[in-house]
Amino acid sequence: MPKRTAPDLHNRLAVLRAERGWSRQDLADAVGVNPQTIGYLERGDYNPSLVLALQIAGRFGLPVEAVFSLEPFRPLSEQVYGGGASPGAGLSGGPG
Amino acid sequence: MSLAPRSARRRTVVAWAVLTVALALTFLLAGTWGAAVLPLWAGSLWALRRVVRSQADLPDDRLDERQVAERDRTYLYAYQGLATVALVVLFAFAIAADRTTITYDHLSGAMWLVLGLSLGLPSAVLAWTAPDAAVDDDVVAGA
Repeated sequence: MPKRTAPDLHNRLAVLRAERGWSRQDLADAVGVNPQTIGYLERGDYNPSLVLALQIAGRFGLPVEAVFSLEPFRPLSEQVYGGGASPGAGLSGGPG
Repeated sequence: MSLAPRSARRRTVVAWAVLTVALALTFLLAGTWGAAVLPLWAGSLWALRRVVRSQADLPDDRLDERQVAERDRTYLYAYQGLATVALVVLFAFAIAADRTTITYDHLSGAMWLVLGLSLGLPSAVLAWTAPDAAVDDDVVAGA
């Protein structure tokens, strides 16, 4: 029997939480889980059930696919402004 | 409630394991003197359950879905460990029965070993394997 491995589930929990100024405790209380479980979800160490994923997305007022995805999310800045930094451009090189 | 830090949990597991073996050996070698070790062992079991916040022994409705999955995983490993120890003890008795007389003290030592493991092994597996909680500045900042 082949070894079964769950696919990586990516999420935007940390970003969405930061946008709203919610702590892990706040989100955990809102969906009825332990705060550590939110940490596990954010790090990708635990994949939520469909019910929990829907509850979390509902708390953010977003569809579940805006919070969880099987594909890595593009950075929000890239989605909003497009393109992003040119290749090779680093953090240094700004006005000194 | 979060689990205790991993280093503290592992120290507690080692203390419990040593006392469980000591309990069984004392009943095996010194008969009822094993009762003297019993309070120490019970204390270590209490400490072991405390460092994992009794997560290995709570029913589903007191845990969230991740904790339930974690608890069930620990029971799988604990069962495998306990079954292995029980089999080794049974084989030891089967082999020893040919050469010596099995006494009450032998049975008592084996019983306390299996009983001690069955009561603490799920918590011990959880205490040993669960990772440390990530530092969550938000919890502090949001408090």
